[in-house]
Amino acid sequence: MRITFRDVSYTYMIGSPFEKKALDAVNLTLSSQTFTGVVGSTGSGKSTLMQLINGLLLPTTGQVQNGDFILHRKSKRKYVKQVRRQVGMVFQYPEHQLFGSTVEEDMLFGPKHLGLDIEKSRQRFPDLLELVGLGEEILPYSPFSLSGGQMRRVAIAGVLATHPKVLILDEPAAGLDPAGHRALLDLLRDWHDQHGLTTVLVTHDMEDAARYADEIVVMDEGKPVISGAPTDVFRQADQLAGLGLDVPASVRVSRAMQAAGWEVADTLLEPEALAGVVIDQLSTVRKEG
Amino acid sequence: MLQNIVIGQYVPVTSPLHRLDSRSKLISLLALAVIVFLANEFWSYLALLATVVLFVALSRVPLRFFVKGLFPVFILIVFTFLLHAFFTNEGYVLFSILGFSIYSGGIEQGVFIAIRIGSLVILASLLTLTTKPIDLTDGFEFFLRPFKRFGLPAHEMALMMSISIRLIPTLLLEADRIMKAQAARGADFTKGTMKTRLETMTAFIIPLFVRSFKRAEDMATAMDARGYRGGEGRTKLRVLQWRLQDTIACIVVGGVGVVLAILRDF
Ligand SMILES: Nc1ncnc2c1ncn2[C@@H]1O[C@H](COP(=O)(O)OP(=O)(O)O)[C@@H](O)[C@H]1O
Ligand SMILES: [Mg+2]
Repeated sequence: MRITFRDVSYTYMIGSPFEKKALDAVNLTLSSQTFTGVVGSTGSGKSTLMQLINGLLLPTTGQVQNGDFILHRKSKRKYVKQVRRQVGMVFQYPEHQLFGSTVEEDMLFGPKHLGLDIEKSRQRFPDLLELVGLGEEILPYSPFSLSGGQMRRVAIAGVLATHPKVLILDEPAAGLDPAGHRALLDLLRDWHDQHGLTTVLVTHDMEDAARYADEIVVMDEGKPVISGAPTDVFRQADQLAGLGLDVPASVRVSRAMQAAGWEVADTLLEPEALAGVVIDQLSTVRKEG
Repeated sequence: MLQNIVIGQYVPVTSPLHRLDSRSKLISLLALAVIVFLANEFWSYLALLATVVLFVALSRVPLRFFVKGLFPVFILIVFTFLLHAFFTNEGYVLFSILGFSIYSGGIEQGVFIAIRIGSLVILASLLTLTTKPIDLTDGFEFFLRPFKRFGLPAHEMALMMSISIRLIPTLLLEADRIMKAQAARGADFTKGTMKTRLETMTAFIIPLFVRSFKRAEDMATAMDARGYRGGEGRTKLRVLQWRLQDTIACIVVGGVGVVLAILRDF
């Protein structure tokens, strides 16, 4: 589903002395079936932007279009719920949403409350659990008896259980060790590819944005300031630095290599690919030398 | 959702009242609560009203916050006003309604009582609107300390208060996040059958409890690790400071008391 923001502004606690404009006249389109990375410093409005997509927040002004659904300030509760049926959302620390006495009960929460076919959903649980790296034998256990990593996987399975067309991931890997971090994002990217989803990943890790996203949107002070393919976005390293943002290590390395007169195309982003180039060039240098 | 809840009532602006020590404000409020009852005729009520207006102006807190504080007692004020208006038989008859004669004395009494209750509420709101909850707790602790010798756990009570106050925003944020996470999974907190509502509430309350206990546990561990051993011999990071302005504030309040005492009818 294509997601379009039209002149969207959002102000928290409007009319109080704590009033805070979090988004300021945002115009942005996220194309259907792309994996978009949203980056930006803390407080730049990333989470607010995400919550507007499924109507957890309704825009103060402007409208958010989600496929054929249009959300605005006065959207009705029932209508918003229809939108939520299309959109799955994984928050930071998704394991905090677990409540059921069994994993199964917890995973059924979404399908039940969004009015999906319970039996059909239940039949998919074993596959879902396998996808997130767990087994179906876990279904009768209490989610609170699991380890932190397992709890997070269960929570994510609980979100995927509604088979959303749009998946919003707001720093889903926060607090995981590097291996768990990679494994989690790998599986979410695989799920995205297999099901042709429209996915938005909020992250402040530029390596993640480079590795997983097809498109990158850079937020600053409530506005998208740079967007485009990762290669194009990361070419603007100076501008990013001005926003307090880094570029991935592989980009820094290839820039340094270019500056030193090496032949490196500036489209490289995968560290592995870059390492290949370095090895190639080193062996040429050795042969010639 | 929870985004519009203002934590405590403190309004962060700068004003002479905000700068005062919480202790002088506590003392003043206590004194004013007595002084309010001194007023008993036109000029003393006028002086009281002028004092309240002056303090409100000094606080630089937008008026709508006082209105919000007054709202819950609005019914009470109206009710007492009517009671006095209908049942006081002093002065001359103004008009008759529903078989009751409304006397001028009744209206007068009604207005006076309304001013009295309104002033009390506004003065009390002034304290919480201009004082950070944490300073308020420190002030309370200061005044509770003498009662320690009678076994009152003053330090622990103040610590409990300040931890609660400190954790309210954190818990609200947590509650907001959990609510949103479940809402994103289709939970509807306002509509639905009894059974679905019950499940929705469970899906909200259980995670909130789990998180609160986890936080309490973490906090206890952190306090242990830092060698917390209770109030004995502890010094404070933020020390309350009684300055000239605090003495002046107390004198002003005393002055108001004297003026009202002189103006009142004996
Ligand atoms: N519930 C809230 N109430 C008030 N202000 C908020 C709330 N949530 C976020 N904000 C403010 O809105 C701005 C954007 O926040 P957010 O969207 O969470 O940014 P990000 O996710 O990029 O860190 C910040 O300045 C933040 O302080
Ligand atoms: Mg955020």
